[in-house]
Amino acid sequence: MAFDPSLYEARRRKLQQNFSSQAGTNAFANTLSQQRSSRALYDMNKQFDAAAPRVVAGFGQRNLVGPNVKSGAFAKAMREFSKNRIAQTEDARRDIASTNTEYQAGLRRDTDFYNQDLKDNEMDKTRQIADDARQLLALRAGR
Amino acid sequence: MTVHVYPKDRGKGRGSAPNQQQVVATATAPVATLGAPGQGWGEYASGQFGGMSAAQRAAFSAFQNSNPLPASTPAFTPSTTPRPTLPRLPGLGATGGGSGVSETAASANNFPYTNAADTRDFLDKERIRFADEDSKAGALRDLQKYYMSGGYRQGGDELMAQLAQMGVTQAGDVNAAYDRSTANFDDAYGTAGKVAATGFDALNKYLTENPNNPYAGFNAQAGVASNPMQDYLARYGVGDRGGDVAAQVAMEQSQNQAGADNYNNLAALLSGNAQQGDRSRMAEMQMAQQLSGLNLGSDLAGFKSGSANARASALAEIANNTASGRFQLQESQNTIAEQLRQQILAAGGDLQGGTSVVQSPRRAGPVAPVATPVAPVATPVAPVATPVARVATPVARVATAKVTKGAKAMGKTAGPGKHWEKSPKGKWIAVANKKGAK
Repeated sequence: MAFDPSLYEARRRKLQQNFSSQAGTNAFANTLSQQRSSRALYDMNKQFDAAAPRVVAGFGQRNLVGPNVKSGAFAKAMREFSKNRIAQTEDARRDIASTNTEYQAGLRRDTDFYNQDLKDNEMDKTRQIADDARQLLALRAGR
Repeated sequence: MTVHVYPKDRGKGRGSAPNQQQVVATATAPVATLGAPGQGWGEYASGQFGGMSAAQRAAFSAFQNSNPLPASTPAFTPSTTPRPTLPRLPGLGATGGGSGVSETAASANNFPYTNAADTRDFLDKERIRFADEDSKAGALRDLQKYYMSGGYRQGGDELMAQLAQMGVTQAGDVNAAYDRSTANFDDAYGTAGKVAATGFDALNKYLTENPNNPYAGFNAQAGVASNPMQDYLARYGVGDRGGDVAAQVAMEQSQNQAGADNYNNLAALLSGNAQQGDRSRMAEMQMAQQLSGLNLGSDLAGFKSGSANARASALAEIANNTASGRFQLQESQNTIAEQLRQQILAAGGDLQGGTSVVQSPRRAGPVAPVATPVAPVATPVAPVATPVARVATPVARVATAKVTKGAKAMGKTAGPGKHWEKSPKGKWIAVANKKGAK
């Protein structure tokens, strides 16, 4: 088979198109995921911010909190409220970070595959050149 | 033709040698030639008709067999033209200009033929017989010469030389074709090597300039955990009794860091894998390049080996053909030689140049030398140099025999200008010489 570099260029274009398409899709999906997670985190913080006055008001109606009134039950309840909010907020943040990291890792993995495919293509092309060189020698030798 | 008549007191004995000063009469006839040397007149010289003594015959034979040419004369090369035939003998019949020896004189000397016609017939038969024998002897001699000189091999030797030259030429062509093919192999090998090297050089450049390490720079950052209610709690004078809130923040921070570390560890693993793959690919390329060179070299060696084998086969075939041709030629020459041997032996000759065929003394000389097949050619010389001697021999021998016998019978000479002849009645009479006779 005579050497035809266009075959390998076509393969290269196909690899590039596949990689670009996959990377674009992944990036868009990651963006959407980041938006959804950030909105959820924002909503969650907004709910916590709205819930805190109601907790204080409930303890005030029972005269467990007020001017010159500091009950142990109110303090405990507020610390639990804070811990709960901290836990839920950090969970949300970690979800967002994990999703983003997973996307980054996926992009690098796809890049790795893409590079490997490109190099395989180059290797195949070089092997074809070497094989053509052998055939050239055979042709010149009249075999 | 010349016929000598000698004085009466000469030639007392048989076979007296002629002496020019004592010739009293000579008859000369317009004879163009009397044949080449050795055309059979030695029969007379040998004394068959009682003409010469033994000493005279020996002298006569030596004279006939002598080489009148100087020693420096180049070797005689036999002519391929037909030898002249023995002419009719004039002077012995009605048409001749001879001495006119009478039939009476002939019969008185025991000459078997009593008249000129019988004598002429006898001489004609003898001439034919001698010519035939000489022809056979000559043919045998030529055959022996042809055989001993190896002349029959000439055509075959030329063909052998041509065959050898053809073999040399063909071998040269084969070697030239081999050299061309070898040079072409080397050139093609160089070109193919350059093509392959171009491909591998490009690949090496590509791999070097594009190291595959997509995980380089990948670093997952751990989020910083905090307490968003800290200010709120401080506003209501709620302290962190027992450090529960702080403990919660620390735990969340720890989880964030653990997650980031896991990702970073995974990225490092994947990065190392990718870099190892790159090195493996580079090694793969180097092995492929080496194998490509080995393949080209192996192919080149195979092609050269095949070409060398083809050359060896072609040369062997040429050698076989040449040997076969030489064998066939040699076989043909052997066949020809055997045929010649058979013909020589059948003709009465031997393979050393000798013969049992009756030949004239002149013939005996040229054929005898065996060791030098070419040399004998030099001896049968002087075919023209001694015409008188040869002319005088046959006819004068007959005429002189009559005259001598007549002179002997009468015991005296016939007289000036005369000679003795036997009359039809058997008596010797003095007869005047014919006009022109000496």
